[in-house]
Amino acid sequence: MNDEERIIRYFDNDLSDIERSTFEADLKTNTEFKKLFDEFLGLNNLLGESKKVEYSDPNYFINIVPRFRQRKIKVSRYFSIPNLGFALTIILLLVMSYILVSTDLIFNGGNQITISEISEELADSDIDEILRYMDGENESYNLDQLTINYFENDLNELDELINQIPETEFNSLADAASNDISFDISAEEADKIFEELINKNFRNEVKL
Amino acid sequence: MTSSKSDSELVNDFLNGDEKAFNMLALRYQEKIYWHARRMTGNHLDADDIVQQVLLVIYNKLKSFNFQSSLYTWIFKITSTRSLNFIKSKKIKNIISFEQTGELINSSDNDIIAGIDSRDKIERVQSLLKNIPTRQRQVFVLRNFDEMSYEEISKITGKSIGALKSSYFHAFNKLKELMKNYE
Repeated sequence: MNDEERIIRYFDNDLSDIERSTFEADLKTNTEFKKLFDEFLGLNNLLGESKKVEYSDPNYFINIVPRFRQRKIKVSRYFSIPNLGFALTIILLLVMSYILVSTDLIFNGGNQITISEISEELADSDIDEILRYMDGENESYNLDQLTINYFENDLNELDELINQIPETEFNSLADAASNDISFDISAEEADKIFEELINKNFRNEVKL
Repeated sequence: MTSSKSDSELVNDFLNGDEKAFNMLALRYQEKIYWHARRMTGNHLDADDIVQQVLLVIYNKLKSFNFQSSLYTWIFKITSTRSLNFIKSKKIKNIISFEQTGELINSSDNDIIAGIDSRDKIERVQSLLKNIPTRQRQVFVLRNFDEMSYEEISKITGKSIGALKSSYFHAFNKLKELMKNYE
C-alpha cells in the first residue's frame, strides 16, 4: 500500500487499528509523509466546509413539491404516445442524418443549412426526452411538440433539402424506416442505431 | 411539515391513494437529491431540473418498488442514473452542435447559496469535481458527500466493492493533484 492509498484510507476510516497506529507514528516522524498528508488534509477540509450550506432562498426547498405538482399536471395534459413517438423520432433522426451526410450541402456557405443550425432546432428538452426514452424511463413523450418545434421553424428549408434527394433513394429510406424500424425494432437494435447516429463523426465527413 | 412515519408506511399510504404521503417522502429526500445532482452536474439549474425529473420517476414507479433495498438506496439509484444521463445528454448536444454549450451558464444566477465565502468554496469543489471522469465522480460523490457505504454504492452502480474503492482512490488522488494546480 503506497502513502497516497494509506492517507485516503485513513480519511475513509478504512484502516485497521494496527495500520492506523503505524500511520499516526509515521506522521510524527516522516516529514515527507506529513507534507503529503497535509495536501490531502487541505482537500478534505475544503470538501467538509463545502457541505455546510446556508441558503439565500429559504423557500427553494419548500417550493419543490408544489412546482412538481404543477409540472405533473401540465405533463398529464399532453397526449402520450411513447412507442409511436420513439419510432417516429428515430425516423426523423435517420432522415436528417441522411440529408446531412448524403447531399454534401453542409458547411459550404451560401444559404445552406448547417448541422449546428438543425441541432439548435431541437430543444434541450427534446434531446433529453429522447435520451430518457432510450433509458426506458420516459413517462410520456409529446411527439407533437418536437415536430412542431422543428417543422414550423424551417419547413421551407427542409422541403428544399428533401427535394434534392433522388426520389428512389428517399422512398427506399422511408420504406426501410417504416417497415423495418418503426414498430418491430427491439430495444437493443434501437440502442445500436441511436449509438451509431450520435457517435457518427460528422466532422470527418465535412470539408470545413 | 415533517412526518414521523417510516418510509415504508409512507410508501404504503401513497399506494393506497394518499397523495400527501408522496409529498412527505419528497420533502424527506429532496435536499439529498438536489445536492447529489448539483455535485454531479456542477450547477444549480441542472440540479433543479434533475430534482423534478427524479420526483416524477419516483411518483410513477413507486408502485413497482418492492422494498428489496431501502427506499433511500432506490432513490439514490434513480438520482444517480438521472444525473449521469443528464451529463451524457449535454455531451451529446455538444457533439451535435459542435460547440461547448456553457458548462456554467452563469453559476451565480439563480443560485440558492448564501454568502460569498460559502459560494466560493462550493464553486471550487464543483470546479474540481468537473475535472474527474464522470464515473469516478459518481463514486466519489456517493461515498464522500452522500456518505453511503460501499455496499450501498455497489447496489446503486452494480460495481464490485474492490472496483469502487479503486475508483474512490483515483478520484481522491486526482482531486488532490487538481487542487495543487488550482492554488
